[in-house]
Amino acid sequence: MSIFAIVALSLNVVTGAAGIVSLATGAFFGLGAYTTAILCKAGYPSLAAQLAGVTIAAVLSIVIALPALRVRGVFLLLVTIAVQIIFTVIAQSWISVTGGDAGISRIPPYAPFGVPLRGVAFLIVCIVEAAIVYEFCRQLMRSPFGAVLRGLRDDETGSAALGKNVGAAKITAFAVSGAGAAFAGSLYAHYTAFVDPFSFDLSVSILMFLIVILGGAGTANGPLVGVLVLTLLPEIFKFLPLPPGVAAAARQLLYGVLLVAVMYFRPQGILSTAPGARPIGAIRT
Amino acid sequence: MLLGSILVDGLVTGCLYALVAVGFSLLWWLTGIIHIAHGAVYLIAGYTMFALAVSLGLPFAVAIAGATVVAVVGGAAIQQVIYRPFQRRAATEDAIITVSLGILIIVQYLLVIIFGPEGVSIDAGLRKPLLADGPRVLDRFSLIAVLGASVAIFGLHFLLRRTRLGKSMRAAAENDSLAEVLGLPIKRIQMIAHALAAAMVVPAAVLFLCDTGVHPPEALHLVLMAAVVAILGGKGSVLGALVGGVVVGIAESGMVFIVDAGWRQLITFTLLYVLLLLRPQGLFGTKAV
Repeated sequence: MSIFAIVALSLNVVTGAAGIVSLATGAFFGLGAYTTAILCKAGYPSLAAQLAGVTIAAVLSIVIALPALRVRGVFLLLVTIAVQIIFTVIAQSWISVTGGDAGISRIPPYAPFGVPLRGVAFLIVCIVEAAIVYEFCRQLMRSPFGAVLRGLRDDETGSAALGKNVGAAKITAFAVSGAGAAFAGSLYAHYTAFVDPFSFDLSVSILMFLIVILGGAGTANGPLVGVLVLTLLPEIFKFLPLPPGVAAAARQLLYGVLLVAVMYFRPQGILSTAPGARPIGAIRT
Repeated sequence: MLLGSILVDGLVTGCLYALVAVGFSLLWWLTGIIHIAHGAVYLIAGYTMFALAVSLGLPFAVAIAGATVVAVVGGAAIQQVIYRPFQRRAATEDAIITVSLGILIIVQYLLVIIFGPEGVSIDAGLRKPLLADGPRVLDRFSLIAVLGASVAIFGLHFLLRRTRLGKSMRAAAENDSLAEVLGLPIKRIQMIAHALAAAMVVPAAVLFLCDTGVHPPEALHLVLMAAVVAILGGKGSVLGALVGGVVVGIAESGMVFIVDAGWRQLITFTLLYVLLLLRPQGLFGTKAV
């Protein structure tokens, strides 16, 4: 859960602060996980693998955000969905590297200081790292850069007119967010010791997006609330006597219903202090 | 011969893509909605067709008519029940697109729960080569697909260009508040557009059903493809959608030949990326985005 919290916190930089809806989070999450899986199995130390994943994700985020210089809002959203699907396609089809649908298994445990961490020790490290990411995001929101991001969320043209470099701010936000997701992805790979394309598909991106908007985009604590609600809620299905295929589908169905319901009843999220009239993720076009 | 196969296969797929994309493009242009739930309408059409023709054993023509009715009602209902409340509250584009995605997911997984995850298909025996020495993909299915798509798309083009309804649609797309002030029933026009878009999806769903089948997970890919086609051909351009659909279809089938079937989606989205980076107004568009 603290792993998901890291992802949600980093997505919050883009969606919450800058008001850009991104549905490629799963891809960056997966990118970090796969990089760790491949490099660690090749014998590299886990910190190096994690850093490599973070770097690749940041660079790729920048490339993806490039159309942001020319197009706004929904087009960018389409690009992120496309990126997400391309990631899944590559993970499924580039079998020699990613193992295809079977994925990569037996990933060695996390060993940041040369000592493999398992169980409680790993959990503590995850929580500490999540706390660091949390503090980093909080400081980022308070910084002048955070102010620029909120400015372009609320009035993009106005920010540009005030001499803010809107394009560069968007791209930086994407890079930070991608890097954060990859960082968490690396932890995830160590945690489950197994990666496959389905752990990082569009439904993961949607889940992350839901976590952020449900908690209240742009608030520091919102993503944490979202993670709590959305990781506990699907557990209900485990108590119902459903066949396994149906349970998985029912979980997806729940996300779909939540997506519509949240947008309808409380587009500003649970914790948000923003007035209800201004739905989150708003980009005036 | 091989090149011929790629071209024919691409053309056929492209025509089916165009049928899906034209409605999507129409709605984007007319109502400003990125209608991701268009994929849901496609699934509804396909599964209704399957239920009527296979489960109930009705004749093909009756089943097609039934599927059309259900799809049209479904499409109009999405506009009336789902989009309308959001439009009334002046929700942002992003909010509506998110809701639309939610609808698609709901329909997808309801179908998975009811019918299972494998998808459905009908073997109508349309996939037999016409010419013994021609390209193998040149069969009855291809002919029906290309002819059917052309008739439907040119029909829609005619409707938009030559009839009163088409004229009011163009007026509504150009400036909806002005059109409303002038007394055009904007809400009804938008609903009719949704119904038309849904009707255009039906032949595509039926033909896919007779070919590779209708699978819930594919719906999103189809909608994104429609977005690529709509941007490529220009929003609201009916003939542009036909051209765009065929371009995407041939590009995908070329990709399948060069690399592997798994990679076909890659070319579509690369196209989307390049297009948005270099020419977001589309190949034929002139307006700034």
